[in-house]
Amino acid sequence: METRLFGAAVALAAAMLLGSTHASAQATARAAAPSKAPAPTPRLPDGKVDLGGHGMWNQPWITDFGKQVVGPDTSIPFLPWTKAMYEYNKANQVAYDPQGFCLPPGGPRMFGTPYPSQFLQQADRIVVIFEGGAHVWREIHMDGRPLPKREDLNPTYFGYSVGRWERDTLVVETTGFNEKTWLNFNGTMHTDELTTLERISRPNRGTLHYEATINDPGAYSRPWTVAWDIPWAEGAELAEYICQENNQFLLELKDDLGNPFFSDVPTTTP
Amino acid sequence: MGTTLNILARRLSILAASLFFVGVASAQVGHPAKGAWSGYWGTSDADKHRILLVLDWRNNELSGTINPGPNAIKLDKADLDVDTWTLKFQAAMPDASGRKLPFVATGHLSNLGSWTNRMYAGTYSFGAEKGHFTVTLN
Repeated sequence: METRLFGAAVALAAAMLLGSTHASAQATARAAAPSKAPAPTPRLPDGKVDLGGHGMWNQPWITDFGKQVVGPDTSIPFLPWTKAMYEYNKANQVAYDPQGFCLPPGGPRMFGTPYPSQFLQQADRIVVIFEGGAHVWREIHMDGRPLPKREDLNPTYFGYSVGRWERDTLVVETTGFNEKTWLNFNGTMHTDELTTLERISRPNRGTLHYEATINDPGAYSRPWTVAWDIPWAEGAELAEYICQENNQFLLELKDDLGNPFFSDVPTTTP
Repeated sequence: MGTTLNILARRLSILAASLFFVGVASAQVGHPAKGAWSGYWGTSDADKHRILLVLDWRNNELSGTINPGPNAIKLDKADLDVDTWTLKFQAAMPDASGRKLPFVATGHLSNLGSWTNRMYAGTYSFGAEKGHFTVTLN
């Protein structure tokens, strides 16, 4: 027994020594390499920032908006009912997340869904296409039209967006959301009073900086802002991903009463 | 021929069932009390009345209507305690003689994550009458 323990200790020490040597060599190599500045922000012929190119944005999976809040107060300003629903969703392991049903994430969550995206820029509009989140796209009107009143719109998953350039930052205002989405994977809810102000910039070729201010007086006591970076994948292309295909999750999902979530699904076959 | 018709009939019934499924499976994941709720209230199974309760969440207040239409009754008050998911509402409802009496309901929201079977059930008083109610989110 002791011999085996000693042998294990020797092996561990050798591994640590080898690991240390390897790490040291890596550190030396890094130090020797010339510092490489990030490639500059690409621009279109008219001088505007090019948010596209031959590649795609490798969106991170933002599972907790609470960790992405920026500003003087980094807490999520829940109203009592959104806090209670957040706790409820957490307790049932976010089983009822609409995105798990292959519905579009909607709103800022679209840029925190771990499937890549591309920006297609035209003079009068910018279209963002998303590989995942139900294989959807989003249109941002850039022709100077005013943002309609929420009451005049048919509520939709992505709402109605108008954008403008403020120097090198794309500023997008959106209203007219429906209530069929969560703001985030972890169960932060919203109402149809939600409006968002997104600020999207490309500080260098390889980075998209995304920032969204969430204003929903029906769900939160004040506006709050989340932000994260999205890395560029040069030369990569979007794939066809159809979430609805073979979504086994739905077949197994049960509600709080233990009944199948979609009990009305026809069970007979022709 | 008969077999072909049978198969056609079965396929049509499955299509109809599929359309029904699509119809009822629309997500409502905003405020958990918001929406149209339908069910029954009454003193017993033999004395049940159909009820449609429409609730809205605006300006951080719940508001609502019982049986929208020509005989609609607007809620005077609706409060949700999110610690217990207890929802109370009150309305002035006419009795058989047309006299308005207070209808006071206290119930519990449950199965909150469900789109197809979210429930609100509890007890009510209507003047001197007392009974139970159960409604499900449409």
